[in-house]
Amino acid sequence: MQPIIELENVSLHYGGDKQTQPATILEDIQLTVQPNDIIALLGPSGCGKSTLIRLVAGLIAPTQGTVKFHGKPVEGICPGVSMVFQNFALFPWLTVAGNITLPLQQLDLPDAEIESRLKKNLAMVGLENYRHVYPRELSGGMKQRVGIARALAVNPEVLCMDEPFSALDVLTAESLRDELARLCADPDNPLRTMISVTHNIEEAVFLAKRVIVLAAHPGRVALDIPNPLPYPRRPDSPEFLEIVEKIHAILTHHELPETESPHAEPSAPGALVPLPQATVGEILGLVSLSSEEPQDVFELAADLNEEFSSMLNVVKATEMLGLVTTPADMVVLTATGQRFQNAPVVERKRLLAEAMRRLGIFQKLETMLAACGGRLPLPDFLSALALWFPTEKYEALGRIVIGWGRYADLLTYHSDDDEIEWLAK
Amino acid sequence: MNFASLPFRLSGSGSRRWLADLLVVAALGAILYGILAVAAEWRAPFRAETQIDLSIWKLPEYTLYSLARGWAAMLLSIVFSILYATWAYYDRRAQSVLLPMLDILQSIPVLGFMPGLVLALVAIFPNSNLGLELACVLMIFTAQVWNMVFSYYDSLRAIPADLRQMGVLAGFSPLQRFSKLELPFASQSLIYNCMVSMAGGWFFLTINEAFTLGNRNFQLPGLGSYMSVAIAENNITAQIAGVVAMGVMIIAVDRLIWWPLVIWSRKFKLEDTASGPAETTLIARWLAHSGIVEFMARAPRAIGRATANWKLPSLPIEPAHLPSSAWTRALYPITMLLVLGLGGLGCFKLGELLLEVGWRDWLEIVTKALLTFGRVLVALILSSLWTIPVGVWIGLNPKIARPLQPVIQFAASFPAPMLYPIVFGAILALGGNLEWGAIILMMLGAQWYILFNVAAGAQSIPGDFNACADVFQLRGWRKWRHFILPSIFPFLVTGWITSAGGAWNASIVSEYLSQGDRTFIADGLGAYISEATNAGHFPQLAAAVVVMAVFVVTINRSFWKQLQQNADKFCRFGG
Repeated sequence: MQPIIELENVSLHYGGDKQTQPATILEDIQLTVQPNDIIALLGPSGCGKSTLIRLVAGLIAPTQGTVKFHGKPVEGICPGVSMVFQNFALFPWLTVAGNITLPLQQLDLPDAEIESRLKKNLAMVGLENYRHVYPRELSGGMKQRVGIARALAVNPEVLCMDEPFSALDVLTAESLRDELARLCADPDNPLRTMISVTHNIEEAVFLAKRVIVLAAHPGRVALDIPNPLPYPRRPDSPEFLEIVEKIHAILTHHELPETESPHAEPSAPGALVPLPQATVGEILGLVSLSSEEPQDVFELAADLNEEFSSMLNVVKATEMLGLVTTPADMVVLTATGQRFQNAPVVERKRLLAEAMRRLGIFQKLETMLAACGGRLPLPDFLSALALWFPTEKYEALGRIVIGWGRYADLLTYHSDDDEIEWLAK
Repeated sequence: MNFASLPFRLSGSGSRRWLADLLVVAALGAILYGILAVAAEWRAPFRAETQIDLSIWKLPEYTLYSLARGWAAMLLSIVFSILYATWAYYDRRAQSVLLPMLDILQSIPVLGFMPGLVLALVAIFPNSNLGLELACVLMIFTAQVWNMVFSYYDSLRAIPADLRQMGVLAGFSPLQRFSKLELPFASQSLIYNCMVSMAGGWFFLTINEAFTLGNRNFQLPGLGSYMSVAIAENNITAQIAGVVAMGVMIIAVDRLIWWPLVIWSRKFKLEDTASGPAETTLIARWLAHSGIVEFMARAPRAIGRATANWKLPSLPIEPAHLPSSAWTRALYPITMLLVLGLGGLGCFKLGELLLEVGWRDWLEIVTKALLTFGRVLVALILSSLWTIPVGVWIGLNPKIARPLQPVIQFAASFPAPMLYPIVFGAILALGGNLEWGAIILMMLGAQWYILFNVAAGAQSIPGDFNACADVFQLRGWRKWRHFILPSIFPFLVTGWITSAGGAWNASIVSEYLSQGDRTFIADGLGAYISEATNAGHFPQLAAAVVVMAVFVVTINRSFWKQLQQNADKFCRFGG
């Protein structure tokens, strides 16, 4: 069977001028979309999954590699692809019917055909009586139903969905997900190929026949997991839970590699590794929730209603500071962590400062600052970061470094002069 | 070493600090000299008509005089805006009068204020130049002030309730509330509006500094009158020199004062999330190194400490029905009576003047108003034809927008009437006349507002909507009709309203042009006002100004407001 869409060695770089290197958003992506594939793109925030689906749709052109549609390279918008947007993208000045028929008019279809497609798709999402209603009168779930009806009305070969349920409340998302799964299972539905972006593991397992896990920095395909469960799927069935568990383990393991001894630093002292995107507040929160009892990262995330991938970042950061360890993907408080938990603020700051000064990035920063008299313009530090970590978003990383260092009294940042000042002796 | 703990922060190396101080001293010296020179000129014995020397070497001096007038008007505008808006915000009863009055005041053509102001002030100061100078400053003021008042009023309304309550808990006096809460909160929008207003203030400079009222000629030394004389004498070299001087002045004021202020005011942005490193400007960095500035920067705090316990009439915390304290109780009726009395007297005098106008004159005025209205409409349509596509193109391509923005801003803030002789010369050479040419002249100043607003509108289209239009392959007219035009429509309407106001104002100068010994007149209300001013026919002048204001207010209320409401209802993203 010939694939519908193929991505061959696709890379995407962004920005970059004389001073900074371009950031690599996606690197060497290989992806084929076969007919009847239902794919979920899953990954931590910042891994470029929304960018990838835009590459597939042809909204963004790759810097390297080719996107092929039925074997032919695509330039511009990929024909036969339709899209559902996270924030619906319904034109507020058009009624429900106007929004659905606008793309059909662009196809120069006869009026009778437009009318019949409108009716069919409105019926499919249960909005027959909403033809003349403006989007502002609809709830979020209704809006996304219109978005789906609009996307299906053009009879696409492939439907792309960019986090279609993440702007909705939990209950609405649940019901819409259910309807979409029923659509996937419906033998009368001509659309059989879908790609959707999500950060929700259960959603991915619920909908997809293939779960593609992306890794971040730079964004790349880490794993392609088949999901042969028959539709309709039951989220409480043992088989379903097993797959969820498996993906969860893979994600955790990928982000928190196993270390030899439970109390060792995750990387050699002084090794130059970037800091995870976690604020001091989140780290303190995790420490106060942790104990010597091992706790599951996944359950922690669920309890705190946190996105799993951002929870992983917090765990990773706290582990880097030696406050917790993660044997077998469980969070356990270390001895330092216990001392930290009971310490007053001054002592906490001292412990953090000590831990941070063992990290390569702070050691480098201290050397840089010592070389220029204690003060360094922030842009200079940012360009150094860009040089050390070409695949990181250096501005976000710089903010994290300043945030950590500031709390531990290692450094301060003068926003008026845009300079970092080293405070510790 | 911990620099932050030292009482005097030593910043930068010694030589840099020394240089920065030198620069500040030089700037202060220049400003002081400027003030003295202007003061001497203002206190000089009254002479209605200063001889203007067209030599290029006199230009810097003239530019300085004009600049001083512009800034005097600007300071006056800021003070007026703050007082007027604060009053309108805190006093519900006055609000119902003050806000509509503002609406009417901003619709009165700027030059309509001129005869009254000039005659009154010259009469008050018969022996010094001060009266004439004040009249000129006040005319610039009337072109600047209205949108600043609106901006400050909107800011007062937008202060979040929790910040206000915080101020109450902290026991702020009204003065502290103003300096620590209201002014910082409003500064960003106020500074931006000041910048836009300054451009508006320059628009009529050629007329504000040199004009004829009946049989009297008035002329003040300045860049505007230099231009007028150059135009009257058909001296092309001097005209070009004047245009260049004006351009240099605009760029200098923009770069040295407005731009640093705009950047500086960004730190008052009300935002919870940190957004990248703060922007700084060269000027700000230089100033940060100057010890003198550091010293001066402490003055506001000292003043604040000294005045913290001043007893002032306490304004209410929330908008309320004044009066609330004994102090204001006594003052309030007097102020109200004064305002109403003055207003009443003005209306009475105006009524007396208008009674002298016969019905034939009224008919003529209304007919001419319709003609000018036609010109304004055509100018709007022609401007839209090029500014909409170009504005959308700029707005959707941020890479183009960045280098183009200062260029467009300059073009927009350059007073168009200074270019009228050159442009009209070209129109004449192409076989045109002023009847149609006046439309082009109106467009010169008015079209930029549409361009700005359209570009801002296109820039604010959310990314998903652009992606959506691309995925569903909207193209050609369908894309414009169903996607782009509705997306920018609320912005477009704002642009149209501002442009229309500008075009009405410009009609006074663009329908009546005198160049050398030739005078060109286009049939219309603007030309009528110009002629009535020159001839000193005050009843006709008053009638024409009233008709123009009524036209503008009526069209605003009946047409533009409706359009704006519909645009806001149907064409706003989100929600």
